Amino acid sequence: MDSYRRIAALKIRSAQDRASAIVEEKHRVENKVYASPGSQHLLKFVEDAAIRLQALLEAEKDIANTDLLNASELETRLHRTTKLIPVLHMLLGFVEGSDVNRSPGQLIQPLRRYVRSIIPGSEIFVSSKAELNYSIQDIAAPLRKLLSDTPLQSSCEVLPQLLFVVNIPAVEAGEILIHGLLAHELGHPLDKTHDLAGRLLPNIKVKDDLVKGLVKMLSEGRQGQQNPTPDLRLREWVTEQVTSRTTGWVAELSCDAIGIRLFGPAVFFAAVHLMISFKHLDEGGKSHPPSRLRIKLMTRMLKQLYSVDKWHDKLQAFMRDCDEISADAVAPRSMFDHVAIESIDDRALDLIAETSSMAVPDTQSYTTRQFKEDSAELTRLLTNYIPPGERGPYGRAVPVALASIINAGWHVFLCDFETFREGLPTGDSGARSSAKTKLHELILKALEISEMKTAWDEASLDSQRRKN
Amino acid sequence: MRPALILSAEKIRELLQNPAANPADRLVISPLLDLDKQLKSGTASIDVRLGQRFHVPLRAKLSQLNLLSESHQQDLLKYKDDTFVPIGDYFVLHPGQFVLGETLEWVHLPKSLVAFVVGKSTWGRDGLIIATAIGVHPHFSGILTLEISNVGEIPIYLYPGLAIAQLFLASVESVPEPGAPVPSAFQVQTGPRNRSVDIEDRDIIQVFRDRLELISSKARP
Repeated sequence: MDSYRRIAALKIRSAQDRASAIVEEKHRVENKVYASPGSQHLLKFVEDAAIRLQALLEAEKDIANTDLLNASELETRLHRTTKLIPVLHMLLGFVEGSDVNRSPGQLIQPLRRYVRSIIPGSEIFVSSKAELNYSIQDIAAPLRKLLSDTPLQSSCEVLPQLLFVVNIPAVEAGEILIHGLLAHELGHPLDKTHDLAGRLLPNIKVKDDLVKGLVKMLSEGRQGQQNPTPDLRLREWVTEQVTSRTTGWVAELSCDAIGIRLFGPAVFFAAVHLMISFKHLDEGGKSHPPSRLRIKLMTRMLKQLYSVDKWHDKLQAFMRDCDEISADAVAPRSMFDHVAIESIDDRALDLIAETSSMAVPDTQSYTTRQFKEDSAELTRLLTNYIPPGERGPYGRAVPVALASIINAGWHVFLCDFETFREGLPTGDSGARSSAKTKLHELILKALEISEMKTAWDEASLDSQRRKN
Repeated sequence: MRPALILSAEKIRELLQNPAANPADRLVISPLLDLDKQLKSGTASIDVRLGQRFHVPLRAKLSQLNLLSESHQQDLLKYKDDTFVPIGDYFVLHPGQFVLGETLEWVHLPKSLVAFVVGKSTWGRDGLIIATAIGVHPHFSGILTLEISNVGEIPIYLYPGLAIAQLFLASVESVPEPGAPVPSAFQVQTGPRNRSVDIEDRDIIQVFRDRLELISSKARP
């Protein structure tokens, strides 16, 4: 028992060292500037939890020194507290990369405002990570669940109802046009809130004959083996593989559909530009459908929701190309992909498109009229190097919406980029990448102007209320 | 030829509120968070506010800045640290410290106007110098870089969003013909930044330096 007590004492000391390192690291990270209060919320949570942990561990010293608990009970009791240390490390990792030097401050503030308008009670922080991927996850709910009935439960009080960690690729942090894909990411919480999967999946049937055929083929291939898998087990496995794909793919396609409703054509342009740059058109994964299927859904939706035939010639040509690509059947890369592709047919795609309207009310949808106005009005400003952050006469100007700015940016990039580039001074107009950077900077400035205008008006009202 | 005139607040307001149909011919100052406060009747300027980005020199990384050095452009990259200060937060400028800041407003001048950026006396009396290179040419489009230094003896808090400078606008005596090349100096400036010296000037000065070197080497015993 003595050896257990000594190890328990060592465990407590070591855990206290870890907790103290977390507090120190929090102070280092806190010195950076964050554009969203989400990062501060999380840092506060981490500090609070680490300090509580230290105090709890201190209290455990007395218990470890008594004979009240046997070795196993002592280990279990201490582990209940110390197992939370890696969680705090992980949370600090989330904050890393969310400071304004790593993530574009001009984007984060309007994005935060936008997210809060469609998901009330939420808070976000945007973090740039060294991977070519966009993602979103709420960490408040899992944290509350993880810490419920633990000594750190009360630390959760500092957390907002929903705290979304939005990851963007670090290398392209300033590439605001590609960040249009964030509308797809926002689809995930909306999809979950409105249970679109629950509405869609019962109506998207996995084709049973294809599953049977696949089981038969696999079974025949294993006939010569010493212990072939029983057919029942094989069928279970195949069904699980196909179902997980179908479920994952439908969720992703739903988010694409929600993204189109929220941000309009900008999501489509961003998705196509990102996907085709590094993904095989027909390659799917367990969670993500092949790009060709996603393009197909989005082109169908755009044609249904927008007056595509009245778009700029270059956009129409782009749409035709995408339409032709998506008209070709997806060449499945695996047998399971094949079954999933066959299950998500055109009827299923239309159902997904239609169901997405339940997650996005008309008032939050980016409309064909908005796109028409933005394409006509805002792009003229951009091509004259004026950031389109506000609209209307001076004194009565209103901020331009996030989706409008990004759509206008895409319009210039796809239709008027050469004009934009040629008008730039030497040095910026030379390389395509310099001109692209300039366009992104103009768009970011437009976002900054729009957000500033909104925030200033709100603050003026608050200031007035305080005086009264 | 038209006589060059400093624009009154009323004229500035008129230009802002009745924009030209062609965006290139417009006077744009955006955002104007409070037009009436920034443009006071009876004056001849419009206030501009401090922006959120600062370009802070990193003295520890560079021994000198030499405009004639071929590596000047690369040196400038080593010499800077870009900082973003959200509204509500502040940047402390210590005595003797120099930073590049920016106006919150994007300024777009038509070919018929020129502007001058002048610090506001409120700040000047606390020891803050706002801008030294104050001329803004016709056709300029961008944020204005402010060369901010604290020549006083106590640190000054800089709050983005506060009015920090004023913009005097003047008409240009004659405007270039349509289609004439647009001068590139600092056009479409999206952030505070340093600038390199003109390459041709640099080469000519280098010729002078080589000659001096030659003379002094001949003079040596």
